[in-house]
Amino acid sequence: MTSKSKSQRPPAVVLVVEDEPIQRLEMIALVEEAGFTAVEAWDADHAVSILEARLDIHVVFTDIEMPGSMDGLKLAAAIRHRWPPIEIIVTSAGTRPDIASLPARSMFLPKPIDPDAAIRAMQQFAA
Amino acid sequence: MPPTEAERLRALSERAILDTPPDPTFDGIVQLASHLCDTPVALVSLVDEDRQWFKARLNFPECQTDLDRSVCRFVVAAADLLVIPDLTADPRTRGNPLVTHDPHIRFYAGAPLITASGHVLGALCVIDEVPRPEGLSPQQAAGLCALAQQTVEAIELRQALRDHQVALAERDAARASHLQSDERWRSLFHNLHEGFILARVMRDAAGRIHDWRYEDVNAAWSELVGLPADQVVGRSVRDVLPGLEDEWVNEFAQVVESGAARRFTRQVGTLDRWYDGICQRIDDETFSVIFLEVTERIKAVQRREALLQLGDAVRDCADEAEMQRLATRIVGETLHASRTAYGELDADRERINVAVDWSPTGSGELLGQHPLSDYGDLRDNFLRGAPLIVADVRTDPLTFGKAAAWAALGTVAALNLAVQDRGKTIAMFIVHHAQPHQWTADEIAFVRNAAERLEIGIARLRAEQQQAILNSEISHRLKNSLSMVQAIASQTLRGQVGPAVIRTLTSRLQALGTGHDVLLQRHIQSADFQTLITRVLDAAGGTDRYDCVGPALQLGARAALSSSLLFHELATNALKYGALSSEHGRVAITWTVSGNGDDAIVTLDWSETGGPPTQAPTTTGFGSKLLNLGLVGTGGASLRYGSTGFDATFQAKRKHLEEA
Repeated sequence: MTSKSKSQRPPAVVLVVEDEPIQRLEMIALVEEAGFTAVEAWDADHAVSILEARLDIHVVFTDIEMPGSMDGLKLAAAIRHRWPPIEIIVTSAGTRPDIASLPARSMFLPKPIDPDAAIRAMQQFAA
Repeated sequence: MPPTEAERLRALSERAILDTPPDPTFDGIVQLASHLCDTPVALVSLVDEDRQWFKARLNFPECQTDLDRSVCRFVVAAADLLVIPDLTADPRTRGNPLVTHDPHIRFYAGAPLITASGHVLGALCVIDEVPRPEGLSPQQAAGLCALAQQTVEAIELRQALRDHQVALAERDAARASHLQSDERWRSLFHNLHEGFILARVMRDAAGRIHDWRYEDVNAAWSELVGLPADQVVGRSVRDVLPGLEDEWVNEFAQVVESGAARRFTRQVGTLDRWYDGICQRIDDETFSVIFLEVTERIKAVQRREALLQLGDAVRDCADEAEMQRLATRIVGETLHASRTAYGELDADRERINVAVDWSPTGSGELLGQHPLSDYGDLRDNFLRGAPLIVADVRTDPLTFGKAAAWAALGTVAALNLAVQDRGKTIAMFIVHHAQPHQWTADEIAFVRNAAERLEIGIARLRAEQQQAILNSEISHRLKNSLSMVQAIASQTLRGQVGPAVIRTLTSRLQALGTGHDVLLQRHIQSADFQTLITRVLDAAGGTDRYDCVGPALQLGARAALSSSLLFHELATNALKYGALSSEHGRVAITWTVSGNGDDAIVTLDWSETGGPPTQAPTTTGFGSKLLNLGLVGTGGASLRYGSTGFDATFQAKRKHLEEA
């Protein structure tokens, strides 16, 4: 986990949740390109355990379709409920979810991810 | 003025007594006259134009003589009693052959036969072969005159009797003829194929017609209306047919009031029968109606219209339950059923699951699961695809054992059709009546037709739903693959090439993903042109600086993907080097279609304004190759790098855009 940020305060931490490892690597690359520190999880349950262990996560960047007890939408809802300040970016290769199924203050990015849009979103949320 | 000879002869002729057979009345009179006057001969002589004829004669051989031999004609001329004591001594009679020759008559006395109107028809006379100088005694003269008067009365009586008999005969003949004619009409009326009503209007206190009464109806009426004729005559139509439509009174009232006959085609709703006929006024209070039943014709038209309506509804409907609601309602209303329902067969093939239940009241009491065995011995036939056609569930051997279950539904007549798919029963279309009902072949065919249309509609919807699921699944996988390609490519290239190169690649992959997305939103074969452009430009950024104008246009799958790459390239260039790189630059995108049919050409102009001067690229990268491939990947691109900004025109056949 490296940071390209040159600022004095420690860079914001983004939790990347994606079961597909190659895509997860690409998401981490985008986080780092945006100037943040990436933390990775391979499914929603893993992500929850990380969130329970760490208090420095600013943004969660999660896929929707994942195996396990929760998909990305349920994870997003759980985060909004348990850790309200955390910002959420949801991505999927599937159809765009209803506004109603996304938590407040969250954002959807379709796959393949537009790198510029992803970086803009993270920077906006972390600001 | 005395009557003329012609009038006298006419009066005689009118009595029609000449040449008639002997009559005891007149025979009795001559007997009496002979006795009275003590002569051997007595005659009732009627003096005609050229002869005298004897209605009665005593001891005289001939029934008539010519007038030369007549003495009576002198009585007629005198219109009084004539007594000639010796005929050979009287100048009027001494040359008479009857006097000069056989039978040598010598004495004559005759009394005139004078009618009430003064005509002398002849004489009652007595004759002897010996002269009688003393003539008649006064008693004999008076008696003879009285007998003559009796003779006239007998003639008149006979005449009156004859007139009376003629009148009677004529009247009988007329009556017979009348009866015959009446019978002919009555028989015609009763054998008419058309129903016939003779009716009298009924008025309220204000004189307004509010009802009418049957005066007579024929046998056909009874058949066409289904009521015994002898129970309606004298009753009012509103009494005979309670709940009758007001039009059946109002229109006939107008006929009576206006005198103008009217044709009608109308239903008696309570009988569920239609009639076509004509109403005609007879007089101020009565009218006639002649009509035929046209229920089958009307119902055939209604069924045909219902099927058309159902076909349209099923075609336009995008929801299965709504489709079932429409089908059951249309069938229910057309057949005036007490209930129609549609239910699918359970996986265990024992139960029908009714999801839609129509009734005029909307009670919906059939909704839910119904084991087939609850309603009788239905399962085997049903699974074989045979319809259940029951006129009365209380008596039909298939259902009567479960009469209580049917009664709970308020159902007496039932038609259950098996809906089949590839030879297998999958659902049931149900029609119920609350009264016994003989299902006609036409009705059954109609319900079958409706059920099939519904089945086809449902199958189409389900196929579409499956296609949508499949589309979405394909789209998901496709975009996931693109994400993988993007991830692999950027991981591979990172560190070897600059980040700008990686960004160009990933954003092109992203434009391709957008193309797929738009494609799969509709059917997998086509995408809306405007939506595609907007989505691609949206992904590239700066949407609010584009002006897109053009007609609706569909793109084929290949054209959608190549166009999405083209627009991505144009937008990226505009943002990097063109109009959108400066603060106030804009891009106008307009497309038009010219020509018709297969030759129609789509021309799209991309026009940038407010940007810096542009120059054609010196090297030919993938980006300019993409631009030159045009809308469908076959060229048709014209690019202009001007001092006021970049412009491009792309042309393609609409056919290629739509089909590619």
